[in-house]
Amino acid sequence: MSENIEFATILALKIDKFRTKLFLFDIVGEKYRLIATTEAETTAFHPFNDIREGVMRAIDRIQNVTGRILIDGESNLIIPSQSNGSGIDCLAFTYGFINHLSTITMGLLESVSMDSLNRLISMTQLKLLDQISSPNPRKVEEILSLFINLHPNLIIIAGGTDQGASKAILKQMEMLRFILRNIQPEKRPEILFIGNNQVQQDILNSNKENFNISFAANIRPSIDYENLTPALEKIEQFSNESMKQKIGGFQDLASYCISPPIPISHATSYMTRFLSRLNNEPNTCVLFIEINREGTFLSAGCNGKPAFQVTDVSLNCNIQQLLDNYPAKEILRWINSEISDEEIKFYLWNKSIHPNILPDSDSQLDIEMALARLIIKNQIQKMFHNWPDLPQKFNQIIVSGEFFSNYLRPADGLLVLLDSTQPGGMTKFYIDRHGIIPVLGTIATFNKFLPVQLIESTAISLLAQVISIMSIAKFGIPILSISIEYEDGTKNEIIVTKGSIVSIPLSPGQKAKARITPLKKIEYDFADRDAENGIILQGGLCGVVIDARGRPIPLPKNELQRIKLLQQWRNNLKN
Amino acid sequence: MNSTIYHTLALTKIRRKRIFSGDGDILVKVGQKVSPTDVIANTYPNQKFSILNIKKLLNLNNTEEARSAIDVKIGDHLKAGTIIAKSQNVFSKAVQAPVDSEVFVINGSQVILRILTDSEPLYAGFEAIVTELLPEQGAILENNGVLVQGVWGNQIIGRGLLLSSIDFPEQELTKNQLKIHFRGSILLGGYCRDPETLKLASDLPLKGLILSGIHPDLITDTYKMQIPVILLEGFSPSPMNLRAFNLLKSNEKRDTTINAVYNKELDEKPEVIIPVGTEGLLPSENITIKPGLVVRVNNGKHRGRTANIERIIRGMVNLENGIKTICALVNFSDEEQARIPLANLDILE
Repeated sequence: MSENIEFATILALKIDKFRTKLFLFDIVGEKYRLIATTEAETTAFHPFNDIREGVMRAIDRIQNVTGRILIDGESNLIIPSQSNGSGIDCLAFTYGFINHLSTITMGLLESVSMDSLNRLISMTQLKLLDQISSPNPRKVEEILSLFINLHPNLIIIAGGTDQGASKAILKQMEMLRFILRNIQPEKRPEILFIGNNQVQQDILNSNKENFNISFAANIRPSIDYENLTPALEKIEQFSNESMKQKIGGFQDLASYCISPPIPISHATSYMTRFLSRLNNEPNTCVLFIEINREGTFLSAGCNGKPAFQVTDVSLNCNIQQLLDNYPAKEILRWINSEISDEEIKFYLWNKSIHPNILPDSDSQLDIEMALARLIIKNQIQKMFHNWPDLPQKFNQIIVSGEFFSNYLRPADGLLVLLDSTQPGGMTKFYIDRHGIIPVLGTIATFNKFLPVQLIESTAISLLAQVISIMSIAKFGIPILSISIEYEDGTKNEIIVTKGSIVSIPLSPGQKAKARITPLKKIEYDFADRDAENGIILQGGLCGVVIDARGRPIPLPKNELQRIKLLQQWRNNLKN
Repeated sequence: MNSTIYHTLALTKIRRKRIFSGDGDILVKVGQKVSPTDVIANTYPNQKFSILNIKKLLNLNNTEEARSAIDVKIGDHLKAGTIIAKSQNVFSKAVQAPVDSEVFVINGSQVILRILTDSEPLYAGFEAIVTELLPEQGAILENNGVLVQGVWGNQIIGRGLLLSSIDFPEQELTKNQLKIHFRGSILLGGYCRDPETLKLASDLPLKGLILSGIHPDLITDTYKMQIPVILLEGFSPSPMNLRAFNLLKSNEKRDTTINAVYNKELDEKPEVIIPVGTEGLLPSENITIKPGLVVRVNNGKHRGRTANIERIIRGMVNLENGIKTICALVNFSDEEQARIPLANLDILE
C-alpha cells in the first residue's frame, strides 16, 4: 500500500448528461475511505456549454461539506495535496453521455462478424445507427444516403477470421472509400478496422485519400474465439478524443487526470468483472443494474467474462418508448393497488413532458415500481439474447441509481429487483447508494487498493441475502422449515409456504446459522453448501429473505386476487 | 437545483436560432423581416442519390472518353430528362437525368445526382427580423413581445387574432363553445377531452388552439389536424396556470402566433408569441429556485396551479409515499400553502 501514498487524496468525477457527481477519497486509518460526495446539474449544454461550471459548483459544495479547500484563487485544482490539507493528489474522470457519439458497423456474416459487432457495440456508449453486412441488398446510392443523412462519427468494420475471408472485406472497404470520397472532408467519420488482420496492409496501401483509419486486433480471429478488448480500448480512445471536441471543458478536465477519462460503460464492466473474481466462490456471476436519468445500464461479470447492455430508456428518459412498449395492462399486472388504465396513462404522458417529476402519491410510486420491473426484465432478456453464453443465474446483484437509492424503501427496492430478476438459489443483493461502482472502475486503472478497500467498506450495502426455493407443491402448502440459531444462542423456527416470500429478521451485519428441512419436495441450489447441516446467513438492510413464490412468479389473472397477493408479498418484506 | 423554465412573460426579447442539420439552402438575408410561415431555409434531411456510370451507360472505352462526354458540372440543377452526357459516336447515345436533381459529384466516369424531391422547409416560426446568418446551419431571428411557452405541440405553425372561449382557467373546451365568430382566430381554451371538439375547431376553421391540456387519447387526432395546437399544462384535466391565463386574456384581439414546431432533444419548446413594438430584455435561461419565484406545480393534487416560493425547506421532507426529497413551501393565490418537491415545480418567469 505504501507505494500508493502519493495518491492518498483522490477526487473522482462522474459526469453524464444530467448529473455531475464528485467523490472525495482519502486515507483514514491506513485505508481508503469515501470522505464525501456531492453533485450538481451537468452544464455541458445551453446555456453554459461547459462541464467545468457544473464541476465547480459541485466542488464548492464538497468544500463546504468537508471544510477542505480543493481549488485555488484562480479556480484551478490544487494538485498535489498540500501540507495544510488543501488540494488533491489526483483526479479521476468517468463519463456517460450515452448515444452522444454514433456509429455504423460493417461486417460480413450475420452469425459471425455481425454478431460480434453487436456485442462490441452493446459494451459501449455509442449509438448504433445502422449495420451493413455483406452481401448487402442495398445499392451503393442508398448507403451513400445513409452516411450523408445520419452523420455517423465512427465506422467500425469487422469480418474475416485471420487467414479467412479477405476479398469480401476489401470489397467492403472499396465501397466505404467510394462513399467517403463523396462526403466533405470535415464531415467524414473516422474508421476503425477490426477484421482479418491479413488485409491491414492492403487497406493501408489503398488509402490514397488518407482517410483516418485506425486498426485493432481482429474481434473474431477464429470462428470459435472472440476478443473484444483491443477494439474496446480503441473505441475508448476515439470516444475521449471526440468528447474533447464536442463537450466544452472536457479536454481541460482530462488534462488534470492521472489517466485518461473512461466511459462509464467500460468502467462499470471492469468493476463487475473484477467483483466476479474477487469472491472465493467458484462460478461467481455478478450483475450490476443502474437506472438513472440517462438510461438503464446492465453490466455482468462471470468468472471475469463481461457482458453489457445499455438503453437510453429509463424512468426519466424516452418515456414515449415506455408508453409504446408497455401497455397499461402489462403495467397493471405489477401494481398492488386499484389503479385505472386512465391514471397510468395520465401519469406517464405527464411524465413524458416532465421526465424528472417525483411520484407524489402511493399510486404514482406503484406505477414507477411496476415500470422499473418491466424495464429491468426487458433489458436482462436483451442481454441474454446478445450474450447467449452468459450463465442465467447471478449470485450477486448490485443496484444503483436515484430511484433505488432515494425513492424506495429498501424492502420495496428489493421486491422490485426480485420480481424483475427472479433469481434462483442463493443471491446477495446490494445497493450502491452513491453510484460509486463506475468510479471505482476508473480509479482501478491506476490504483488497485482503493476499489478493494471501498468494496469492503460500507460504501456498498447488503440489501439482503435471498434464498429462492422452487417447489411443485400447491399454493399455501408448507414446503420447508428453517431453524435459525443466532450468535447469542437464541433460536427461531420459520415455516415457509409455497407462494410466499418471507423475511427472516437479521440486522445488517448480523450472522446466524440456518438449517433447512424440506417438508415437501423442493429444489434449491446452495452452491455446495450443506443446507441441512447449516448454512451461515448474513443480515442486510432487509434481513434475509426466503422467496418461495416460484419461477416464473405466477400472478393471478383475477385483478383483486392479484392485488391482494402483491400487497401480501410487499407487507411480508416490510415486516 | 434548476427546474425547467417555461417563460411566461409580458414583454421580452425573443431570440431564436433556427438551424438544420445536414445540407440546406438558406433563403433569407440579414435584416430581412420574416413572417411565422416564411421559409428561411430548404433542408435536405433525407437526401437520396442516383449514381450514373457514364462509361457503362454510353458503352465507352475508358474514363477519359466518359469525362469528355459529360456535359454538366457540379452544382447544376437538372430537370428530369436533361441530357447529362452524350457520346460522339455515329449512333450517338445520351444519358438523361432520371428525375429533377442536382449534380452532387463527378467522380471519374460516375456522375452522382442528388434527387431534389425531398426538401423540408425550415420556418421562421414567428414574426421577426433576421439578425444573423449561420453558414450551413441556419439563421438567428429576433423580435420583442409576449412569450408563453407550452409543454407540448403538434408541430404546426399558425397565426391569427387571439380570442378566448373561457372566462376561468378551470373551464373545459367543449363543442358548444366553438361559435362561428371564432372562425379564423387563435382560440384560448381550457382542457379538451372530446375529439369532436377538435374536429369542429379544424372545420370552423380556427387558426390555432391554445389549450391547458388534452386527454392522451386525443394526441393522434391533434397530429392529424391542419391547425397548430399548443398545450400549456399537459395531458390531464388540470386548469391552465393563472399566470399564462391572465397574460393571454389580457392580450385578446392581438395578432398572435402559435409555433408548435419544436425539437425536444434541442430543449426547444412550443411557444405563443405576440409581437409588441417595445424593446425587451432577453430572459434568463439560468434561474435557480429561490424565494419569491413564480412557479407552477406540474404533478400531484395541485397540478397546474401557480404559486410563489415562500422558502426552500431545510433538510429532506418525507412525502406521503415515503420518498424523501427537498421541497419548497409555496403560496398559492388563495393564500393556501403547500410543500411541493422541487422536482415537481416549473419556473414560469
